[in-house]
Amino acid sequence: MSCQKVQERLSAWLDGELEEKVAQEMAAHLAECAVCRRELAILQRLHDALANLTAPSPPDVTAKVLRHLPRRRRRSGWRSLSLAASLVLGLYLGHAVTGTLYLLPNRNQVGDLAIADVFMEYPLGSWGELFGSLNGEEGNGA
Amino acid sequence: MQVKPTDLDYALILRIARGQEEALAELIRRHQRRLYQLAYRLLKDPLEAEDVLQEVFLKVFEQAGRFEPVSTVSAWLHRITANHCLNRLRSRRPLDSLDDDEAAPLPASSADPLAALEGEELARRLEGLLTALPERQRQALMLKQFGGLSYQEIGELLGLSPDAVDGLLKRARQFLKKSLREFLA
Repeated sequence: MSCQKVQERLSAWLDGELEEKVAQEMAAHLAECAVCRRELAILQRLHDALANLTAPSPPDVTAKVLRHLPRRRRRSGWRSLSLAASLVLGLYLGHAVTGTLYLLPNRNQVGDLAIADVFMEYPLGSWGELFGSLNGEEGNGA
Repeated sequence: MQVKPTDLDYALILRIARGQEEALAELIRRHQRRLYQLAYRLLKDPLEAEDVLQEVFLKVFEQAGRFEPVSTVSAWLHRITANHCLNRLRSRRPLDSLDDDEAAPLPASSADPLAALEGEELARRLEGLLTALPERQRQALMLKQFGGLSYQEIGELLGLSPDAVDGLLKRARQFLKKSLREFLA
């Protein structure tokens, strides 16, 4: 490949846009030709100089973007809230209906049953023995 | 380049597609700097570049569910940004013809050769030269340099073939190289 053809393709070489076969021919030429290597180096420095150009600091657009999001998306929170309210209402109605279908003991009866359940393991008269054993353990440990 | 399953950006896109605003905020944090640089370079106007940035991320929120992981999220974001910028440029004025190859007269160099060796002066000179480039060449160069787009992608955005994009870039670089030879050699 001639120097002229190589130098015509340096721009595309730099961008990695050459076909594999052409790129190999370029590499072979550049390995042996100092003139073309110098041209490539100049182009590379130009590339670096462009990359180093500064721009004004970008403003943080996050808040502005979030503020302008489509409303239908932003309403998802309200949608969740209304769904939760519907669920609570459904549970309440369900309880009201089942409460009439399945007759439960009244509140006082339920309370009595719960108390009886707690004290079932400790029959009357057992409390004195229980406290007595605890005091004994404390005395041994002292 | 395809998206890897472990790609954080892709994970964010999936969350954005489910409407999660925090994921969008994180994506903005990760990409706004580079996208702003591209928008600013194409539009040459900081306020318009900021507007474009907002439009791009609003579009991302809307379109996240349609993202196909055949390219990286970053490449997708750069393409959307470039597209928005070019639409704005089209509405501003008609594009230069492809035949309009001649760069405008160079802005006068105020520096002496020694001072020009400084990086700051080189940057100033380069900025001036970029404004002197024909519009198509400038756009192609900015899309390549700051958008990292392929010739094919640039061609799609500008309505040109990859070979035509190659030609634009070659001429733009040739012009800059020639004008800055004393600084770059």
